Amino acid sequence: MKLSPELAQSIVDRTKTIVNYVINIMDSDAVIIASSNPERIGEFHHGAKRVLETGDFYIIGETEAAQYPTVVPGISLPIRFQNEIIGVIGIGNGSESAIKYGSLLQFTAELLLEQAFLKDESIAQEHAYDEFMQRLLKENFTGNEDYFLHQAKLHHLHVESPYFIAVTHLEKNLFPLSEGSAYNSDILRYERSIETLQETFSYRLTISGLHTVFMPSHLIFMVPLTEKEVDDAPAFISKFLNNLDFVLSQTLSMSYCIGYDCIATTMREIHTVYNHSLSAIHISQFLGRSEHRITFSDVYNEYLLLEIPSTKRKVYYENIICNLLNEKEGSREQWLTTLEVFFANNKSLVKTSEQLFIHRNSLLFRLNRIHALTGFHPQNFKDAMKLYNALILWKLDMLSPTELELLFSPN
Amino acid sequence: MATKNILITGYEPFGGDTFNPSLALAQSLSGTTYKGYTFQYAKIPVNRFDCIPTMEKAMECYEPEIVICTGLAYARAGISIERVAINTADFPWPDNAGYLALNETIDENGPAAYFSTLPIRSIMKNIRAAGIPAYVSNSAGTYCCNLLMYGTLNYISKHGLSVKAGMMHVPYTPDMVTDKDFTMPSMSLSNMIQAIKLAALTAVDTEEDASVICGFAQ
Repeated sequence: MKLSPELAQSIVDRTKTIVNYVINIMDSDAVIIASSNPERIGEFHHGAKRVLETGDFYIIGETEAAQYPTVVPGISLPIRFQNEIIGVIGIGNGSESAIKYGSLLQFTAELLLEQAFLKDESIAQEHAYDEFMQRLLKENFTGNEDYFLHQAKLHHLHVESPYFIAVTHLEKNLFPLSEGSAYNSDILRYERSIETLQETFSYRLTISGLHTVFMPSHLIFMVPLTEKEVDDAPAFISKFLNNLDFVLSQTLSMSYCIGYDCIATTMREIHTVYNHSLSAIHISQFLGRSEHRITFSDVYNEYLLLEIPSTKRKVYYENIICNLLNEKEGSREQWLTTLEVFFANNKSLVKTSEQLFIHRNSLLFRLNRIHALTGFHPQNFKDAMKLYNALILWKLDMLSPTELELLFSPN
Repeated sequence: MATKNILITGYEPFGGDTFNPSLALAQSLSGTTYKGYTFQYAKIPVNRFDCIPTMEKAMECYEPEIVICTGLAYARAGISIERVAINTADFPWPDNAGYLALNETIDENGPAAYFSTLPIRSIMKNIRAAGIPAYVSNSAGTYCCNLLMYGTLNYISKHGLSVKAGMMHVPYTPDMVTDKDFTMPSMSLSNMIQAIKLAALTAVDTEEDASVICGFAQ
């Protein structure tokens, strides 16, 4: 471990509250890197040089001090970390009590160093955990099994456990960093906020083994299931989502929606289930749906339509709704909106007419007119399916390649 | 995680205030543990129709063994431990959604009243022993606090649960009265936190309520 000037200064600041003497800390070149007298920073320290050479403490008395212009009497002691001298602590001004306190301050400095090291270790472990969890969600297990299995064990994950994954899409980033923020304090505050939030969810959801992964605008919850919970998965999922929804509504002051898929029976399926959950959210948003919880099975049809190549998409929808699309501006939007709202309301005439603010008879007129223009009647099940698919394919064709990618492979 | 929960609820600010000590104390106690129990909190809206459903969601989420609803009481000098909730919503002023309930029945099929199932006498005794003024109150009013207390006890009764539950009112904090009416009684937030925590611990530790005087002559 290297003794940085920041850490050394914090040790000086802490130790000078114990005794009121001049305290200096020198690096392995005997240069003062921290001091209770800031003017001395950068100076060469004669006592430290001797300590680094001998590995033992060194006292400079008044006679020796008088030989050098900047030297004051005092004691210098080595600072050891894991049996290695990484610096020297010097205490002025050579009185007997300063010498007596020397060992105490040396011990305090070494303790603070150890504490800083453990803190760094802990932060590094948290970073490694976060990074692995993100890779587990975003990358495919296949072809990289050894890495994932090894890491999973290191991070105390049960490799063969079934997991339920809920992806919470947040309206905005929970903890935005200020632009160009590179200051340690900002990043630390950001990390602590995430940590606090993760801890909050952990104990408020009272679920053993819950993993919470934070990504900008997303919070992902991974819940391991027991055999009993797998046997009654729908009940477990329903209760977990109710509780999650409640805790989120109580914790966050922004709108959000939750996407999920079936249970990942092993860790290998986590990536797929995560992608499906994200797709569920994005496809639902694309369709303009307002549901708060979206399961992948709700958007599976649209997800399959995404797999149709662009050229085939166009042929399909042009065959079905070409005459609607060729209508003059205004009328075209009216037919398409009518169809969209009609399907969104499960073909209910009452709800559709209410949402469109039109009379039921006007809606019937519009549906008949669509039939006349396309040859497909929206109230007929098979015709409705064709019209719906054509409508979705047409909407997909309006999207940019990036937007399409987000729906299909949102990772 | 086989942990037992103590649910403390607090209200969102209302009546033009930007702070409600009942919510602050509930949040402050959140995460505290005692004899295998963990304190959880829920923020309850000051809303005639959302108040009880929010409480029910919290009950389903935490499955608590002890519930202490807390609310802010105008002009009360000490912690008031409510004895009873009545089946009436008769608001003196509108809720946060602007709704004014006038002589409404909370649950048409519910009883006229529910008594608190917290050991109210022991709670009063222990809070007073800590040097904090407390008394047993015989009316939780007819605003949202009574609504919540009735709704909570009604939920527990209808689901056949064995949960100790009740309501406690807290006074204003000193900074809240400075700009309102400086003759109004107040209490520090730290005293309130201590009092509610003591109430919860008393509920955990008490099998049978203490036999101490807490009644009023008039």
